[in-house]
Amino acid sequence: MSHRIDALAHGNRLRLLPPLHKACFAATMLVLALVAPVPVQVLIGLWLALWVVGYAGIPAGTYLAMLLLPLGFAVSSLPAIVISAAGQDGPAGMQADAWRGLSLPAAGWTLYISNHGLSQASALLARSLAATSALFFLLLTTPFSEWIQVLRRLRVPPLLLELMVHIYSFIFILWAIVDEIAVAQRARSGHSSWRRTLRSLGLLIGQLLERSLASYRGRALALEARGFQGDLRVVSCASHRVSRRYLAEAIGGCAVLGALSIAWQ
Amino acid sequence: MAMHIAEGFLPFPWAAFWWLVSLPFLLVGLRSLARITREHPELKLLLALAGAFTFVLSALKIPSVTGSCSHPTGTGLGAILFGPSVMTVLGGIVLLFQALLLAHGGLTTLGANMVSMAVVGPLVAWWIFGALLPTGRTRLAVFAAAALADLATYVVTAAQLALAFPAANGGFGASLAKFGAIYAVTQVPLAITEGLLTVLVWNWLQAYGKPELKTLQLIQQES
Repeated sequence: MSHRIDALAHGNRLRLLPPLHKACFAATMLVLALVAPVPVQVLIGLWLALWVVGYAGIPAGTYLAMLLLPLGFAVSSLPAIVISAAGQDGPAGMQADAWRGLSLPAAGWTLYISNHGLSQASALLARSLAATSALFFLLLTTPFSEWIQVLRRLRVPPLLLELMVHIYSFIFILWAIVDEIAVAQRARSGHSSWRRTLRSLGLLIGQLLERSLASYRGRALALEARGFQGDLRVVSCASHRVSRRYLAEAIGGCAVLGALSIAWQ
Repeated sequence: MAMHIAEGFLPFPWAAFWWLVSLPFLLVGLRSLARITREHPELKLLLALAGAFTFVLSALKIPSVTGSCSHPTGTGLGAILFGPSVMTVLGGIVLLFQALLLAHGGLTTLGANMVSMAVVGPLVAWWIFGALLPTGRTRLAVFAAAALADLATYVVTAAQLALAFPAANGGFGASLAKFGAIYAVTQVPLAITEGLLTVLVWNWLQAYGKPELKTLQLIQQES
């Protein structure tokens, strides 16, 4: 799971570009993805795929699989938007709204595919694709430690950032504990029935809490022994290089997409 | 976790609106956290641990009664253990990491997800737990708090989706009924499962985790 995204971000070919530039680019794309008309949203998705797969060198299959996960969630909630129901006599609006006049009577209700819903759904899919691409561009080209640098420059409260750094490191410690316990439980038929699965999970969560508190106490003791006053400073020695070529393409592309979305509005 | 609103799902005005709604809660939570950590710097680590714990909890698969698998929200347990205002900040960070590490949820919809999962869920859990505790039936209180916090989260999410996607006939109400019906089928069994699971964890903590519970009470007394 997470190790994968992290590993890809650390090894990508756009790693050396300044994180602030990448963040600005992704933020611009994200805003454009939300407000632009559908054709521009599709263009954004394609262009960012070029950045991620072509320039950053993320394997196309991996990127596609990552995109399919959130888009799958979006697709799974489409039926609620597309299918509408009306009472038997049906309000007058239903006939106008039903797609090709199709309707299906069921138990005193009439189910039909709504034109209004279809247009909402297609707008939603295009928007999801574009916005998810923008998020993934940032995820796959910028490792977490550089996110923190950017957020620090954006004046996010230091307490929040500190908590984020600590939580990030704890997540991997806890995840290793969960893996160990889960393997032990599987080896002892801990998931043979629904009741047993539930009991195993309760045990796992309780044990996880105990063991993570034990690791917390060790860490707190170690920090106190070293004169911990409340903040943890880490030296950052990553060097970044501005690339004129990428900068030109990013600015030029944003301008073209912005102009297109005004022209096609 | 299907109740996370995915990236790009909400139109721009609604995404911005829910961000604005969530910000005051986040600021209040941050202020109470700042007060706690100024007096006890070592509690910062404990709070971070609580956040990481909630994240890992939310990434576990739990079996639902209907046979499908889903993920616990962990907000009920978190609110009972750490209090609602602390849980708002931790929940917000956890939701951010879910977007960044697991690709669940997103940045533009983070505000909406925070309102349902980090603000309303913990508040409901906290309120129900407090209301039922004086009856002396602690386990019932834990079960009801966790299960109803889950349900409240789904109701808020359904309302957020219905507001953003009103039906052509009947508008918000018809749309809410549709989203609500879908969530009722999938999420009510899940809420019950999470309630049962939280009681099991609670039993374990009562039996073997007394010192841990004492440490956690430190946070609650301070907030």
